[in-house]
Amino acid sequence: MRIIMLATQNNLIKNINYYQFKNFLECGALACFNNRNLDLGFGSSKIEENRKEFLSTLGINHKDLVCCQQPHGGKVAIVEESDKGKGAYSFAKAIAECDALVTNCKNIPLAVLTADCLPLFLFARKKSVSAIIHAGWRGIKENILENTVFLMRDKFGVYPQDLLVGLGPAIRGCCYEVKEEFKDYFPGEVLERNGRLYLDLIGINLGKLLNIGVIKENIFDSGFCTACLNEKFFSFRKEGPAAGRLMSVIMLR
Amino acid sequence: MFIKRYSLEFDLNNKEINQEEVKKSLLDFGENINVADNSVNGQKTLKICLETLDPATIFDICAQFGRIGCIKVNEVE
Repeated sequence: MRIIMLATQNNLIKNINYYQFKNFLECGALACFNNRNLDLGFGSSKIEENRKEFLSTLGINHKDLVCCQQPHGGKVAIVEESDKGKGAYSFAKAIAECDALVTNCKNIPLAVLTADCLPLFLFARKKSVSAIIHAGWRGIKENILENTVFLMRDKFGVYPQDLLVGLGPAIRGCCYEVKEEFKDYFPGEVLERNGRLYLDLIGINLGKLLNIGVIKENIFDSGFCTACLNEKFFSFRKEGPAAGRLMSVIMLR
Repeated sequence: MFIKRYSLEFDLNNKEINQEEVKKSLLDFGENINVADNSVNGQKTLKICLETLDPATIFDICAQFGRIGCIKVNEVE
């Protein structure tokens, strides 16, 4: 079992509807996620109203929002100016077949929607490139994190050691009970407690980030477990598939 | 009020996938659900077609069963 201590204290700015990574903001990128006050998923009957309310507070034009369809795979897309607004309200218009978005364009908000899966925020300060990742267990197994970091390196010359990484709210090793087969999917990463098995999504991703070359001091963990803190966040495991969705958004200023 | 309805078509791959179990898990989240065996050359694949108000939830459910691919999404008029 891997134990990695991160600087989790005081890295978030708290608002009534959202949390924002302070370290990203100081370096020129907005990186934040909302709480369960607003359901921002495509299934919400108030999708337009809620997204507008959340994003306008952040100074983001809600019509510019770019989302992806998140089929829990390992594919990544590069977002350009012409993609602005794809997935702002229509799932059919969201970027297809991918679970991560990368851009070097300023003022394009990239978002993923989650309820237990891990949202990962990536920001390369020197090259001014941002990425957002929807990292569920299947996407992690399909190397969505590595694929995103390597795409940033190959297309934009971003070195992993230049990356700031934020870990948003997700179901954690304390609550994420899994079946026996997960031992095969993630050898050595499944925790055993009282005869039950648990997956530590955060630990797995931390290990991957450090292996890739991201500097430990540049990784900031929100520390929130969506299941433990279900009164604050939506949880697929706790509430079932009809749970609302949290939005994690990153934008270069 | 801003509710869109989508038609969704995709493949679901897993060698141990159970067609009936997949269909049952989708019943509360879609209509006109069709789950067909589309296996080719020993590769177990289901072809799933349905209409839904929440395609993201359909993917979240189906991803628990297998790999999703060959996605087609359209808004229903």
